[in-house]
Amino acid sequence: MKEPLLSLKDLKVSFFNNIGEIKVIRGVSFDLEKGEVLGIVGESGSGKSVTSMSIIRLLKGTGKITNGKIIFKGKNLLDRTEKEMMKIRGNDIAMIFQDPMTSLNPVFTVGHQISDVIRRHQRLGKNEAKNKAVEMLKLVGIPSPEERYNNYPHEFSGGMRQRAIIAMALSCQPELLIADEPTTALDVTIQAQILKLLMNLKKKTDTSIILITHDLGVVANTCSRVIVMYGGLIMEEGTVDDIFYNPMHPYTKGLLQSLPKKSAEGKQRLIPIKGNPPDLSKTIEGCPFSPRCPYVMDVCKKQQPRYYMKNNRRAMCWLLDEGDKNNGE
Amino acid sequence: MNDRLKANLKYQLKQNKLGIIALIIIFILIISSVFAFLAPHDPNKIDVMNSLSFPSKEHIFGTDEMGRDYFARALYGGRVSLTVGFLSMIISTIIGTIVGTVSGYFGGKVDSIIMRTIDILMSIPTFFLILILNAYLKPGIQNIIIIIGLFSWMGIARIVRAETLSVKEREYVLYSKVIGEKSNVIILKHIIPNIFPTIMVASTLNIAGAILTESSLSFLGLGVRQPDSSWGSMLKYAQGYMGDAPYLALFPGILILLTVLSFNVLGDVFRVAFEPKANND
Amino acid sequence: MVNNEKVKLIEVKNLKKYFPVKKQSFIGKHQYLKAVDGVSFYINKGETFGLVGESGCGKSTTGKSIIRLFDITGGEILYRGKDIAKLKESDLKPYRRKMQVIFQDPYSSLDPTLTVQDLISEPLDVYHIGNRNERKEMVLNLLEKVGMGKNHMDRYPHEFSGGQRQRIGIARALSTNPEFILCDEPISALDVSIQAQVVNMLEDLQNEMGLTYLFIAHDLSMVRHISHRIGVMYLGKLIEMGKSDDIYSHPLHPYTQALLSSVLEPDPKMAKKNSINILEGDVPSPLTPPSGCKFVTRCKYKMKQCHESEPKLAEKESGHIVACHLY
Repeated sequence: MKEPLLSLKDLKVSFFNNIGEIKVIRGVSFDLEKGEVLGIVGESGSGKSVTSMSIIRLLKGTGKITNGKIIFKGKNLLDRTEKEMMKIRGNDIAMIFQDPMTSLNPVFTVGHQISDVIRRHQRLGKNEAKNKAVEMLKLVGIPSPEERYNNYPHEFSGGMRQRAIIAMALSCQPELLIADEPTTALDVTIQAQILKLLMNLKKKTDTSIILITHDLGVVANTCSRVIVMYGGLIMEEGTVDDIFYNPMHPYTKGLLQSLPKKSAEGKQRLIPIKGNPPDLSKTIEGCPFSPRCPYVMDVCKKQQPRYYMKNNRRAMCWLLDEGDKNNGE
Repeated sequence: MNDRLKANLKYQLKQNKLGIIALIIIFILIISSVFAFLAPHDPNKIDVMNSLSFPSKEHIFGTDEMGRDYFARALYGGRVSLTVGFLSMIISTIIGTIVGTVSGYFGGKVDSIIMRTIDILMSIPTFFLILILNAYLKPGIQNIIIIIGLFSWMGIARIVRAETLSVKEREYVLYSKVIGEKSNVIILKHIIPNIFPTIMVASTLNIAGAILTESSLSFLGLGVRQPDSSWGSMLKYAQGYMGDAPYLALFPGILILLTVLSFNVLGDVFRVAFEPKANND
Repeated sequence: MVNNEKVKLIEVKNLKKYFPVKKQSFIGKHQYLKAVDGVSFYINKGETFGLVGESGCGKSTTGKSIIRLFDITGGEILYRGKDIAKLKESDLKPYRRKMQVIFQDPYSSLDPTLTVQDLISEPLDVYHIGNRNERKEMVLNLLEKVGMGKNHMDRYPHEFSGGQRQRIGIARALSTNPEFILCDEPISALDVSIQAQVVNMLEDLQNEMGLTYLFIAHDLSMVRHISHRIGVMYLGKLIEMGKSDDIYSHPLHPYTQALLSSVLEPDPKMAKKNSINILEGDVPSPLTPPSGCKFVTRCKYKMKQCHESEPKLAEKESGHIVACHLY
């Protein structure tokens, strides 16, 4: 069996401030196979963004990885020095963020920023790097790439900027691309452009992608496998068909139900999930979803559920465990 | 001011040892000023026999050229300096806040006129303005306070205006406009409370400046008159005795230094504690 | 139940809002950003009118113009037939009482220095409704109406989640018993699982109180769900308008068609069948819009006519209006 490209094992991350410890990620493990597009879905407080920042070890300020391993190509990234990580970032693992406005340095031309990344990781001369950068701009569909090489970020529209960022991220052919809400700040029509571009590029370069989003529409159209996070834990994992057509976890079910549907039978009332997202500064006992779960049982409030496995899927829920017990397995 | 800011402040003080020291110093100074009357000696009692005596058990700070107890004089002098600093800060803060919020909130021509006026006022060396005004007015603490207050509000106004510009675009201000709330109510109810931390920082730094200005004025002989003293005037008279009795200059000098520094440090602690980014965690 | 009287509560005629842009040099004309450039539509009492479009289309400016957050550059804003566009503040007050707003950002639409009670009673203050005790009672009723309680009254906004803050904003908007509420992207900043809560609440309140909403949003699925009628805007112009279902089932304008087909459905099988449809190009800068039809730079059906003249809104079928030379 091939080794996965990326493997997280029991990752735990906390932030420390004057109030105390905020446990943002409470034990997350998953694998990413080469060539996959893995979607991580979650809402505020789920920990999805912190997961990605932990992988490339760019946690802000007071964040600390308190437990776990991040195995990339066989080696634990948490054992690497900062110097080694700097070689990996941009070269082996690239990341694109949500806000195209602040991802580019306004003081340098876009072309320069891409060339910069290229030269930092590959031994290319100034002109060679420039040519490569122009090629990348062309690849991401920016018209007149030679001229636009010399433009500053503010001379680009939001969609164009995001394309430039993708160009920068893929310029050194990374094996893993982490995209954290790459289209959330973009208009609907531009979002479609960017996602289509991303999928096309993936086909060409066979980069593995982790796509972090809260938008289930994006997930359905781009991902092959999905992880659903809530309260710093993985609630459910499965193929995209599994998750959308056969969800096991009450949270996943709730999310899907609360979406407005394109139904022919006329308007149906939305079915929301009651309650509010969890407050991570308080200790959570049991399953983090229990305050909002329509099927909550006593055990849910006291003990964190185990993972129930089935085929290649899993879900963290006592209900499924109970079901198993009743089936006498 | 809500709990979060208070918690932040406590945390900052814990982190910043210097801040605690500054707070303690200021506290000691204020207490000593208030309880100056408990000093063992009368600050104005002349005792020529004992003039210019070095610090001793009897006179902790020694005596000045007229034999007066220097420690008592320092305490009463502190009263003057702190009072002037504090009260002129109040005047500056009130004027600065009003001008700043009005200028920032209404914008347009009003803003332009006010800002250009501030620019003009700030380009004239204020100290000279104060000197000139002082020449025309009766000497005394009251006038000093008013003069310093009248010429130190501009910096606060600018800072308040800048903050007002950003606060007035926030959605809760837009909401108040939509429901027809009057402008002065919006400024008092929404703008000022939200820029209060900034005002607090600016005011604290303003005190330091005011004390320094008063000391300078008194040093030049234009501030408080004898027999009252402030640290600045004490420095003035100490000039002539630098060789024989350097402590005459040392004590008031150090006190001015400590006070100004402490207020500056405190202002800085406030600034970091009230930093908006740190509060949006 | 909703009153069936088809009264036009709000009507805008040829609404224009231009923002002056600083001149590049001393000499030269003033440039204007034509955020809203001649928009006309109406909203019936008791219905939800959805206004959609992408960045720079002017939908938010349109909404803010209607509630008179600022003065408009031209056109009329009719409230029950009376033009409120040029009224002075003092004459505007009785109308302001009937119009309210819910903003997008639950984190900046509530003053962090005020308690929930103060926040919700602010409109009561402005209109001198009730005395202190009566107000406390009213605030309590409003909180309960939005699913919150007495223990929330003395707390501060930062102690609540985004969804709860939005509820507080809704309670505040209801305090003056308004007829019309501008909902400016009220759910965009909320988590998906909370959006449904808020939308349901808005619908229930509408049914109970006969409220009229102008719902501005970019989540097309949600807009379809909550709106009775929809208007589509592009670069300051209204290019299509009609019943919600009509617009979604057979959009007429090429932009509306492109917009709707760009929506990613949360349905993997459908996704595999239809690949992602894209509309090429970017929105032109609002400072230098194209002449003729504003959509001409990106339209795949463009004809000679489209460069030359701007199409006018025309009714194609009952209640379905579109501005396009194709028709």
